[in-house]
This record gives sequence, C-alpha cells and structure tokens, in this order.
Amino acid sequence: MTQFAQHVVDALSIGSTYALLALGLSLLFSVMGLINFAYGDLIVWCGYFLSVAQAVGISFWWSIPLIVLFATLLSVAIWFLAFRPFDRAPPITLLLTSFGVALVLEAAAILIFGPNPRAYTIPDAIGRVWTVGGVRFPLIEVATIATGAAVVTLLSLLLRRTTLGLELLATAENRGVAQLMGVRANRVVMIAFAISGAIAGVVALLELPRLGAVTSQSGLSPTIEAFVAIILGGLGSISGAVFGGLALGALETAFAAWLPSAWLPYQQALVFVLVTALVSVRPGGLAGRVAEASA
Amino acid sequence: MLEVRDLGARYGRIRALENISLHVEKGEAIAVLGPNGAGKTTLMRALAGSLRVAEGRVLFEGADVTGQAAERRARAGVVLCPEGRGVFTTLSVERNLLLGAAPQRARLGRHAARAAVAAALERVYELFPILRERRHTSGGSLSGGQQQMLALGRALMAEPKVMLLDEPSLGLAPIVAEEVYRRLATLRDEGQTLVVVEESPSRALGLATRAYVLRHGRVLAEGTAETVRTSAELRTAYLGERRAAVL
Repeated sequence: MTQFAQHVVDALSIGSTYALLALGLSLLFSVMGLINFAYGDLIVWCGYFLSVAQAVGISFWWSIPLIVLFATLLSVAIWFLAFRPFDRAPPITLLLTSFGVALVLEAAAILIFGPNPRAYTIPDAIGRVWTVGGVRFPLIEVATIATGAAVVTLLSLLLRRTTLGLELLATAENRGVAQLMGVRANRVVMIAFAISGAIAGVVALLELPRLGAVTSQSGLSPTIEAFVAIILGGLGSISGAVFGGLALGALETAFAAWLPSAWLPYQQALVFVLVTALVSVRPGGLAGRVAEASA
Repeated sequence: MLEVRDLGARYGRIRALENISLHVEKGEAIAVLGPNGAGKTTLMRALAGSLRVAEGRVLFEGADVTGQAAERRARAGVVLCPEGRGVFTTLSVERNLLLGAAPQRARLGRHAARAAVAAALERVYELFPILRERRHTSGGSLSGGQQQMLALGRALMAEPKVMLLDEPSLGLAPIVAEEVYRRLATLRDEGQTLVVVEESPSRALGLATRAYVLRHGRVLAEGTAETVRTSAELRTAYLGERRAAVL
C-alpha cells in the first residue's frame, strides 16, 4: 500500500511536468497551428542561463524569476524572428521552421558553451524530502504537483474570465473573423508565445534541479514526451493536455515499477506502442471527440 | 463616408473586380446586388480590409485606408458581418458579443469602455431578445437565423460607423430572412449606415435607398432603389443579355 502511494506521488509529479509542457505546446498549436519542435530547447537555454547567472554571482533563488522572464522573452524573440514572417503559412511550413529554430538554438549552444554538459549548482534545500507514513515526498515533486495545478487553474481562469482569454479563444477558432471584429491577432499570437515561454521557464525550474547539467541535446526528450502527452490527451484543449500529461506520467511510472527488469530498456518503446494503439481507436485522444473527422 | 475609387482586385491571374467606384454616405443604406460570382464578396472584403486590392483606393471619412488591415479598419468603425456569419461556435453567445466590443475597448481603453460595453450589450439584447434568452449557450448550438442575429449583434457591439453585411439572408427560411431584414430596417431608421450585399434583390432593395448592380466584377448599373428595381440592367445581370431581351 505504501509502495502504491509512492507510485501515485511519483506519477503525479512526472505527469504534472508533462501536462505543463503539453499546455505550452497546445497553446501555440491552437492559436497558429504551430507544432513547435523547438519547445524543449527553451528549457535547455534556461539551464545555460542558470549556469551563466551563477557564474556572475546571482543566487539560485534570485534566478527563479529571472529564468521565467528569460524563457518568456526568448519565446517572444523566437516568434518575432522565426514565426512572424511565416504568419498564415500552412502548418507544414511552420513545423519545418520550428525544426530550423531547434537546430539554430542547439548550434548556438554548442558554439557558445561547447559540446560538454554544462553544470550548475542547486541549493541543498531543494533536495529536501519529507516522509509521511513511509511515503517519501521530495520537495521538488510536491512543488511540481502544486505548480502544475496552479498553472492549469490560472490558465483556465485567464481563458474563461478575461478579455485577453476571449481574444485568444476567438483567434484560435477563427483568426480571420477575429480580425474583422478588431482583434489585433498578431498581438494575441505574441502573447500566446509569451505565456508558452513562461510555462517553459516554470518547467525548467522544476526540471533543472533533477538534471544537474544540460547539453545542447537535452531539449529533444521533453519535446517528444510533451507531444506524446498531447496526442494521448487530444490536441488543442487544456483538459486534453492535462489528461494526456497525467496519463503519460501514470503509464511511465507503472512500467518502471512493474515491468520485468529485462523489459525495462524497452519502456519508452512500449509507451509509444500503447499510445499508437489508443490513438487508432480514439483518434481525438482521451479527451477529444471520437469522430473528429466528421466535424 | 466610405468610398472606393477605380477599385480592382484579382485572385492570382483571375480578375475579380475592375474599375469599381461606389460610395455610401452617413446614415444611408445601400444595396450591392448581382448574381453568384459577380464579385460582391470580394468587394466587401476589400471594403473591410481583409483583401489586398490591386488597383484603386478605399477612402473612409476622407482618409485613404487602402493599405490598412482589417483589424485597424474595424477599430476605426468599418465592421463586416462576413458571409456565413462567422459565429464563434465554441464561445457562448454573450462572449461572442463581448468579443465584438474589441474596437470599443481599443478606442476608450479597457476600464473606460466598461460602461459603454455594458450599454451596448443591453441595446443588443433589446434588439434581439432571443440572444438574451440564450446568452449562456454556445454559438454553435444556435439555429441559422439566431446565428445571423448574433453576427449582427456582435458587429453592433463595436458601435460601427459603417456596417457591412455579406448576404445576411443566405441559407435562411424566408420567414426568418424577413425578420432579419426587419431588424436591419430598425437599425437604418436609427441612422446606422449600412452596406448590404445580396444575391436576391427584392429584400435588399426594400431596405436600401440606393443600389449598385455588379456583374463580372464591374458595376453594371447604379441609382436609387426604385430605378434599379425596374431597370433592364438588373434583369440582364441575372439572366444574361439575350434572355433578358426576350422577357
């Protein structure tokens, strides 16, 4: 029982990370049809930013707001330089552009920081673990679950209650008509990139302590995990991203816990097989409609 | 108030509009008629700014707005109810309407606009009581006629100086189309400037004081609603020269 409770805590923590990543990606997909393969590189660059900040003597605690700000600005800069010129281009053009952005970010990282992993130090306080009734609650996992819940709540309030949210939803559904009604669509898309960047910054804060160091390649794995989560949950909605992220977290934790050890190297492949099977039965994902094509 | 001079537009190599000149004055309702493919929707898009024109100029309140994007033109007071209504199906009726107030918020500032937006919402609900009744349901669950009312109401939320309507009776049952036109007549009587595009001329001519007839992207005839109604050009536009001569 204790063992199971431990798995639940772990699954919620991993799942929250995936859900946050999926939210950031899903937002951009909704607003401009962009599948952003450069998303994980934002997290990598947050790692480099942290190492540089520490080199110039900024403490980890002061780096927390700076990292979120950095990721937000980097995301907006990427929009301005790479995606704004391809405004209204077909999704395939945007997808290829995002690959280009990922390559540029990775090459720039190697040029500036070299090919070796770049380490940073994490304060001991972050590694703190509480034990309640035999179940371990690492601070970072608790923080991840709480942050995930907070971001999801804030984002849904923003979308449902505010004028900005209204303009985001309207632009996502029909950009042309939104513009006819006087909505500044470019500004809305820029804000979507800013929010998506801020979410990447938050994920970086939760992930970097676990990684301990970054390399130029570290961005690929979170991007792919986020895509699997989105596909699992259904594209283009908050609930889809959250369901998908949590389901993927549960699946991975279950595999890690109960697969025979000989199978463990194939854990990720098995996840993909299961997701592929699920999507062939429910093309819209867990939260999506079953017959998306008929709509 | 709103005017185009020698307007030309193309889709690739196909000419959609050629040498179009028309104008609408403050408080006036004009109709733009013509068969399918005459260039009516293209003209409306050029007026609203969602289509880049190849030749000619668009003037609004004396200023050249030819290169101005749709979102800026909407904030300046030219609002288009697009063909097919363009209702946001995932948003509630009320949020559809609130979105329409974007130009007001841009003009007055978010906080100062609050009272104006509330007043506009009340006015729209009085004009279309069905929208008040269904304000919490999604735009997608409305009937065609209700969606048209919502599109009109949403455009009114901007307090537009000129309202452009692209086929407001398209796909509606005659009795519903009549109702839509009764509301448009109310708006006209209140002094709202209107440009109405329709394929079927009778209702639009009943609403408008003046009319233009388009065919093959050119203005075939223009004049008061009465003269256009009885003109030979109107029949020619729809039937072609030979068959019109027979009639």
